[in-house]
Amino acid sequence: MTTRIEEQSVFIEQSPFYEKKVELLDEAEQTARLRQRKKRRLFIFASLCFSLILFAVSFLLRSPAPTPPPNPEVVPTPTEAPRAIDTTSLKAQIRQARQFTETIILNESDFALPSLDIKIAID
Amino acid sequence: MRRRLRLSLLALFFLGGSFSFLNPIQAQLPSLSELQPLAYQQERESLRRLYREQIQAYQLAHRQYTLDLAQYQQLKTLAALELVVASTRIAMERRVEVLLTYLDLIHLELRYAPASNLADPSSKQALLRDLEDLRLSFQEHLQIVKTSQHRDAIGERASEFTPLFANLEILSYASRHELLLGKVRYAHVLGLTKLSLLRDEFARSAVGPLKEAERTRALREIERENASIDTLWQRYQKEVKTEVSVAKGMFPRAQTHLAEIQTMLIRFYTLLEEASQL
Repeated sequence: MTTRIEEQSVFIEQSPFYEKKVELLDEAEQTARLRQRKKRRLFIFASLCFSLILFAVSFLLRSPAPTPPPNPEVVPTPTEAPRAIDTTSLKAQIRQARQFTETIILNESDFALPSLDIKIAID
Repeated sequence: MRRRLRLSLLALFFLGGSFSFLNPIQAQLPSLSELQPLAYQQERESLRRLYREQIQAYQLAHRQYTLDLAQYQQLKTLAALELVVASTRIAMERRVEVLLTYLDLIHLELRYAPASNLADPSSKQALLRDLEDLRLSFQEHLQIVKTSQHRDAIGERASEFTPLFANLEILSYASRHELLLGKVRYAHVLGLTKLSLLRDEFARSAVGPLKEAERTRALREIERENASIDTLWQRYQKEVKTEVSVAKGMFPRAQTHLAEIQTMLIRFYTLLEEASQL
């Protein structure tokens, strides 16, 4: 014997409005899925475009071949005639010199005397 | 959730790939350390590796020597004595091997240091000769240690070692001071050269009054920084006497002063970099 609720369920499921509702729900789900797929594709496409733009920018901004470094044996004094050097190279040279300066004391610690027992003996 | 993660990773991959092409801008800039020839780098790397291995071997030998000595002091037997004589000899050998490689490292550094990177270029050859002589002395000492089989001989080797090590300390501080002072001075002179080039660059390129004022202000700040560095140099020359700077006590003080000058030089270069963008 079916209960009243079960009877009502059967009635609802058999009703044409229920079928329409299910149909509409299915459509809505499909539309949502399609929308999600579209969003995903758009996201991938946007990432690709952005990467390509970055690559193009970095390729265009790449620095020219570096000028030969100054001869370490000859350090020009400030009173010497200036050479024509473009700003990009000078910036790079300054950065390079700063990096060298930063490592001076650090590298020096490599030459600290080893800690050895200088009193190795039997007595 | 998994799909979102996959997509994010995919996006990151492409972004990371494009960023890697920005690196050539950095990778193309030669650093001053890259000016050192390949032969120097290879030899230094090989010596450092050997140095680390020898220090480990010394530490093992020293540990054994300590154990055998304690055992001998407790037991006072002939067998214990034989053991401690052998382990003392081995520890002494390992110790000298470490110091020989250490001397080679300092010698290498001095040998390849360009004249402009030394405090006193004329002293380079004298230091190299002293290092070579000391190395020879240590090698002779090592040969004698290897043939020392008795307690008395070991005792003699121990007393012979002390003056050798004292000489090594003096040479080590002298060489390190030479290299350190030379490099810091070189960095300062190099900075002044770049400052001069920057001034010329400013003189060549005409800019508006606002930018001109910025440039003037930047140069003034750099000159102020340079004046502070000059003050530190004067203080260094007053407090660190050259003839005693090689001594054990003076070297750490010299190092501290030079570290201060290095810090100011870094600031000097930072200001130069900022000014070069104007």
